[in-house]
Amino acid sequence: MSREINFVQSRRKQLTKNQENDLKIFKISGAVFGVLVVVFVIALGINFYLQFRIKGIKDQEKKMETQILSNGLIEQSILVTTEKLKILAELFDQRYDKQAAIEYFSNIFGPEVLIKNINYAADEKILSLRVQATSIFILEQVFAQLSNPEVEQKFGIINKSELIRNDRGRYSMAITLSLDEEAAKTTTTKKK
Amino acid sequence: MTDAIKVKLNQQNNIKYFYNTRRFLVWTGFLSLLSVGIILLSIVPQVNSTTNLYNEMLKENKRLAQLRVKVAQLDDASNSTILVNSDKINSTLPSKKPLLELLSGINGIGNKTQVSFNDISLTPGEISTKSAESATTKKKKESNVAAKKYEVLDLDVTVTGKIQNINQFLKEVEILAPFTNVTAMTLNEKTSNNQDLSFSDTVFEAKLTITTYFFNRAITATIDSSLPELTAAQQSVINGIQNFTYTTLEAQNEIKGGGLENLFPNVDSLPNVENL
Repeated sequence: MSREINFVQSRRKQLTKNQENDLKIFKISGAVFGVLVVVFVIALGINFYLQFRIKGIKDQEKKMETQILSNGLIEQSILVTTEKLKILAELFDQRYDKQAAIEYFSNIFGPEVLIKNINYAADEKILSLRVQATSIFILEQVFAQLSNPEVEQKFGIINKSELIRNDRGRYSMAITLSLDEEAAKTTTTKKK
Repeated sequence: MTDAIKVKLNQQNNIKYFYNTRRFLVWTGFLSLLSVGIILLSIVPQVNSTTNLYNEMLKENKRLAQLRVKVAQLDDASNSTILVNSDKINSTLPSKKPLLELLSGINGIGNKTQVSFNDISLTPGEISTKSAESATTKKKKESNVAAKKYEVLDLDVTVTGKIQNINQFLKEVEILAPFTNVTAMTLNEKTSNNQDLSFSDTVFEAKLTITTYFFNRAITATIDSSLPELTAAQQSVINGIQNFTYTTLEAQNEIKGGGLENLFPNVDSLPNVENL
């Protein structure tokens, strides 16, 4: 009885093992490839969906824009009027400071003192007044009022200058003050 | 057979042999290359594109919401405080030089407060028209000085009257539309020196500089920007201008004849264009 010797058996075994491994790797890479294809398809789908949504939003925007443009005159009127209101608020504010200061001094000086000159530089918020007193005693009262801590607290340091006596015995004097609250505070602090 | 052919055939046989025995490995390599290709050439650009589209959608959604708000605001605008009071606001800060309105207004106040006018002079300043409202901002002066929000018109007025009347005149002028501000005043006694009268009996001459303001600024807006809200300060302005004195001037849209002499009395009709 002849004995068969298979010389390629181990080689075949090795080959079969490799082929099994290859198949396993092939299956895994196939699965990965499949997943990637699915991911690609999903991304493509999302892309189309988003484009569709954006188109829908843009269509709605166009409708809204048409509505807004049809009300263009109203919008223009509102914008211009609001801008005017902003400016008026600023102007009212500037003028209010001046009016309040003149009224304040008229009240504290009394009827014997006349405010003869008013000069108001709105940009710098500087108010210059020339006050006229009927006598030297009234003028002393004016000096006392201007040195009053309450007045200094309100307007900072008040600059007094150009004291003049006219031929009828009336005294006039120029006073300059800042209506800028920050400047007033600074001058008061410096004095202290 | 040459050696070269032999070598080539050998190589071909080797490849065939490798494919026959390791075909799954070959396919795996092919699939791997294809996967890398899909990732680099399709999935990455697609994901980037999707991210960009998503961001764009968020942006457009935000813009749509802003447009919706604006449409709603415009629908309700006819009842808004700003539009209801727009005539008064426009009279208080007009968009053109309010010279006639100012003159008419101070004349009325002068009559009311019993002061007499001695002199009126003015500095005309720059020309302003209604078209300035919607002009483009680029046309503004290209100077380093920041564009002013408003223009001013100064009017020098000299009035005579008793101090109470002048005071009343000053008060009334400052509630006149267009918005005016007395920026300078000089009082001089008109009564002769030998009379020693109290201030209330003395006749004064008041030299006033009255400044009025007008709007001369370009406004720009984007379609999706929402309409401005009324602030407390602006509401206070609206309340303040309710008590203002408004002058009503009839708008003149044509040249009215002033009884001028006809310079061409012998010409019956103007020649036709064709005959010229």
